[in-house]
Amino acid sequence: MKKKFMALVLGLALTASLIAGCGGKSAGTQSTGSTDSTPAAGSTAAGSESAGSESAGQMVEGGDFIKGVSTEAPGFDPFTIQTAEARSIFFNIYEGLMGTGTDGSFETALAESYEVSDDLQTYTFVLREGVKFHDGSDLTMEDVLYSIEKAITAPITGYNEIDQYMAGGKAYTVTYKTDKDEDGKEIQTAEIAAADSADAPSDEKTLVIHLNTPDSGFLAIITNPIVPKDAKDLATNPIGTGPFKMEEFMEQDHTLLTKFEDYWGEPAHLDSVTLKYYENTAELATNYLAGAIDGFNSNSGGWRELEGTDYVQNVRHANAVQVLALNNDFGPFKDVRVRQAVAYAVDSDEIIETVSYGMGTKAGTPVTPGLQKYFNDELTSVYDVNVEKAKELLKEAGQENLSFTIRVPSNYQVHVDTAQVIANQLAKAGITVDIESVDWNTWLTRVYQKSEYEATVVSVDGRIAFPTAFLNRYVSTASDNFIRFNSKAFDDVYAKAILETDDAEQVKLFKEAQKIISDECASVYLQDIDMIVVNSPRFGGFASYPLYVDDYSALYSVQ
Amino acid sequence: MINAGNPKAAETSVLQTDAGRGAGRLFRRILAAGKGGEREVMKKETLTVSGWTTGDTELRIGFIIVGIVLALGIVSVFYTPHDVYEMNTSLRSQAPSLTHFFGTDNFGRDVFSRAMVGARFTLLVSASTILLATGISILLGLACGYIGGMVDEVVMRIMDAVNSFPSILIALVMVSVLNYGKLTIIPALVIMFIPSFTRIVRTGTLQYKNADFVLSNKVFGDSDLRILFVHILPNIYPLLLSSIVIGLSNAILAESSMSYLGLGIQPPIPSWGRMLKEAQDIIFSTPWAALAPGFMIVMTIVGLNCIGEGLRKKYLS
Amino acid sequence: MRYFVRKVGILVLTLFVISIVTFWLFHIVPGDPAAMMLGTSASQEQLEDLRKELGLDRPMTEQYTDWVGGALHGDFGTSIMYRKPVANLLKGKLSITLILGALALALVIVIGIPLGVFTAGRKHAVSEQILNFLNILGISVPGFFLSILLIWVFGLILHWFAPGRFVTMERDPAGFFRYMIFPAIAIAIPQTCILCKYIRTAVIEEVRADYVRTARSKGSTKNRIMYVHVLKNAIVSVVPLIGMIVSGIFSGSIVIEQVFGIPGIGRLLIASVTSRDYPTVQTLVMYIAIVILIVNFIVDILIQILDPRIRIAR
Repeated sequence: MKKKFMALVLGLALTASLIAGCGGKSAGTQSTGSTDSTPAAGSTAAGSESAGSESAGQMVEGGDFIKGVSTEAPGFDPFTIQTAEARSIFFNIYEGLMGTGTDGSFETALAESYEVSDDLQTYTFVLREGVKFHDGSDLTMEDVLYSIEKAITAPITGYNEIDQYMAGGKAYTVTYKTDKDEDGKEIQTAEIAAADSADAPSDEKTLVIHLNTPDSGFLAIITNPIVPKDAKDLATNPIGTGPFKMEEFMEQDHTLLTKFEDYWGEPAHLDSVTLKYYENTAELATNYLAGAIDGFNSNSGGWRELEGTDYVQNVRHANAVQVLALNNDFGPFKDVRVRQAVAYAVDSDEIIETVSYGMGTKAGTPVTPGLQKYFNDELTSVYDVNVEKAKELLKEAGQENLSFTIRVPSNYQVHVDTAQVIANQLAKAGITVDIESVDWNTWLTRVYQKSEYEATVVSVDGRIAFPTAFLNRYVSTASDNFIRFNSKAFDDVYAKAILETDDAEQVKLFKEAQKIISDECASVYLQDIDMIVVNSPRFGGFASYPLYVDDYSALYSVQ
Repeated sequence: MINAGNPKAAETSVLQTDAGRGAGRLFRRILAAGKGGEREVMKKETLTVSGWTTGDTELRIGFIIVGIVLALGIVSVFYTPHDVYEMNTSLRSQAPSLTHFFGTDNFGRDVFSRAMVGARFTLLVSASTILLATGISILLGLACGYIGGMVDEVVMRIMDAVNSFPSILIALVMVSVLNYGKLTIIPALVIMFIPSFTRIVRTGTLQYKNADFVLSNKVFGDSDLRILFVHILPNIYPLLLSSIVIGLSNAILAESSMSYLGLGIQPPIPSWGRMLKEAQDIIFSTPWAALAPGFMIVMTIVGLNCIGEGLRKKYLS
Repeated sequence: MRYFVRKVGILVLTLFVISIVTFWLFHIVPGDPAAMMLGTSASQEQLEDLRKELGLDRPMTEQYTDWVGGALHGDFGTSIMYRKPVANLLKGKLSITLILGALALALVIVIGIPLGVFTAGRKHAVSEQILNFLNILGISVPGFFLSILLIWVFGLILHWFAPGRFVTMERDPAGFFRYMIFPAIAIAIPQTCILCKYIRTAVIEEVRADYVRTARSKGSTKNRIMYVHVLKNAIVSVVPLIGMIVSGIFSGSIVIEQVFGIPGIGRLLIASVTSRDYPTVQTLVMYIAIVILIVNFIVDILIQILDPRIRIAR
């Protein structure tokens, strides 16, 4: 970093993070754009808008930005595509009734205003006026109703709380049926019946949504995109209301987003953003150096290659927790002592230092440290490395010769590297670890869907900026509970937490739920790997959210 | 298999059968551009016979290179200068020096030690691949060539199919079926190599099936199996040997390509292909980590190709 | 003519075997496109729903018969990943890969043949040694390593081109060719070495042939003999190699497209294998097989026409 010209957005925060990485209390210190921040608060304030402000030069409108990405969005239909990378693009194309702010709070987007009943079961939204879709049509209540219906039947997680919604003099009642598929898995289907209703608001601007349970997190759920009623082929031709519209998509090459001139809010600064797609992360740094791209996100040390060149480095949480997931149904791991032994044998500080080059935040719980309000920071150091204790626990459990296989997705070099570090660390406690790197699709099917694994390393991100996105999968009956965690205590506390109407009380319950996961040692929560957002000094502006997204509307050219 | 430590042994084994020369003629015909009279011409026109023309120089260079690589691999079983797996962040990305001949990688691991172990596994994979593929191909090729008819047609069409198949798909299938063992890449590679070897054996068998000496032995009442394995097979050996050597180098290339796509030898075992892939991320800050395994691959293949070329020149022309 | 009919019959049969094998292989590999689209943040319900929407809940055999049925009518199905007809998907990629292949082939021929002829005439110990070694070296460098080196040296150090900045031909023809020349070189080098070696050997052999002596005694100039008679015959004798070189270029381009970030057939193949996009993979595999088989087929026929002396071993 000697000669490097680096307009660190958060010069302070970065330094703080390096220190914090070694010390215990890392939560919040290096957060980049979350509200209630700590020592680095001064720079955090700059976080949402700034970046280039100190990097000399004047902000100018216009310009084209080329961003290198290593994962292609598998289509643009927000009701079917759910990958983190796709959502990062959707963030710029689509908007929901509500939006997520840089501090993780929920702001009005396509809703002009909203009201929440005291029992947290009735939500009333007033639609914003003068909003246009990318195809030029106006946003109407019909589009909103269509999008909600689609989200309920898709089904988008969380929407199955809706039991009725009303608008335009009609009430739509949702009934859910639970069927079993041929594998005996429970599948829920929804049916929607519309009827005229006197209770329903008669104007075309007001929407009332009623939930079957109180949920303070519903504002996070309702951020799901609104699309035009007659939208066809969203997968290839996305139409939203966001600051950018999709102009062109070429498979395996690029996606071209252009500025949407009729955006209702503050329009984007750039004329266009091209997402240039490369096969692996290795090419990103190379291509930046070659001048083919203006920026990229790096979480595996790619930024280190840029030594001696000009670039602006922004740091944010990836908002995904890297976890050494232990299959709780796998023989030895049924014993909590064995899981704890593994946790004590793993040194996450060393992993952060080795694999993330010090750019990571210790987690200790499945909730990302970026979600500060809910993140239980007392858990980060519970399982600090203690090889003796690990050996002791293994002896107690009669598993002195423990050996297991880590099945790791081969396309994520950072996870493959982490698995290798873990194998070294566990060897010190007498645990033998084999590594199997499998291709991503095999991983998704075998490990994630069918839990056919002993252990794995992966980053789990949250779909929405609310703890349910991270914690729901630990409910014993959840279909995405790939860790096969089963704790009555957790189920109870979690159920109570989502129903709780008092904010402070709810935060407490969510933290308690995390404590149970930690006590039971469901898995080993390693770190939230810092996302290093590298931009060319010709561009400024950087906004960080407690979500896995890139906000291109904040970017601007610098002269 | 070739005994790298003792070139003489390899030489004599090739020379054993008279029929070796017959195979030479065949080989020339197959290539449609044999080097038949080249040596003659050279003698006439330059009056000097260099080692390059007889193939001796190639053999010598080849055996030296392959010998060194093999020695590195064998030594790595007992000794490596540094631990292969232990990571040490304070030694990250060190340039080559006397302590670290090839430098260290981004995790502080000694690249030379890893290249040594990589040599062991890369050679192990390619050698066992070729051994297995040759074994299976000999059976298939002899059967096809000798029996002919439907058997021949069906087997050869399957071979054509496998041959025109993207190898990545085969590898993916094999590793899925065999559950991603450490070395499951071997069966995947075996399948990829069977078609070309089978074709060579089959063509050879066809050639000799109706040769006078085979027919006369038949008249004397030799069994089919005896004819196949005692009379026909030894005649195909010399031709096969040359292909085996080329096959070895192709197997190394294939393994590194597979590793490059993440399907090769499983981590943390270093294979050259995977070392190269992992080092691609750091080519600017740590170029030696990529150059070292690349250099090892190139040198080994140069060595093997030299041996192949040398053998061809020496015994097949 | 009977030979021709038989060959065509075998070709069709092989294609059929390939389609069955592809189908069978896909049956074995775990995973499906729905898994890829949903990643790690979807529920079982969403997965089932999407599978139904994409038609993945149908039995594999049905998916296969559908594909074959369609393919016979020229309809290669719809890509599950990209939601558009595979034929349309291929159209864009095909030209890129074909141009890359053609460029590489042109390089191989333009450099390989003259170099072979040139070196055949100079059989001195030293130059022969250097040539021999360069040849072996050229064949020995793995394509992806060569690509990495080219990118590193010419892209990052010398800045002759910007790796990763692929542009389509429609947008910027000059930029397109400037970009494609380096991957083409990476593909061409090993093939050039092979061709050069064979041409050289063939020329040397031809020079000794009787007709050359006759021509020489008749007073033809050395160059005339060299380029009219010898070269013609030498080229004929390396025709069988063309099949090998074309398939070498094809399989080489799969990896090289990855490294250089060229959105061609090779990358599409790997991407669709990863996403288990059955119709796309089936079509691509068939396509590549057809190209390779047809090239071999043409080469066989060509040999028959060009040089009746060489008879194909039956």
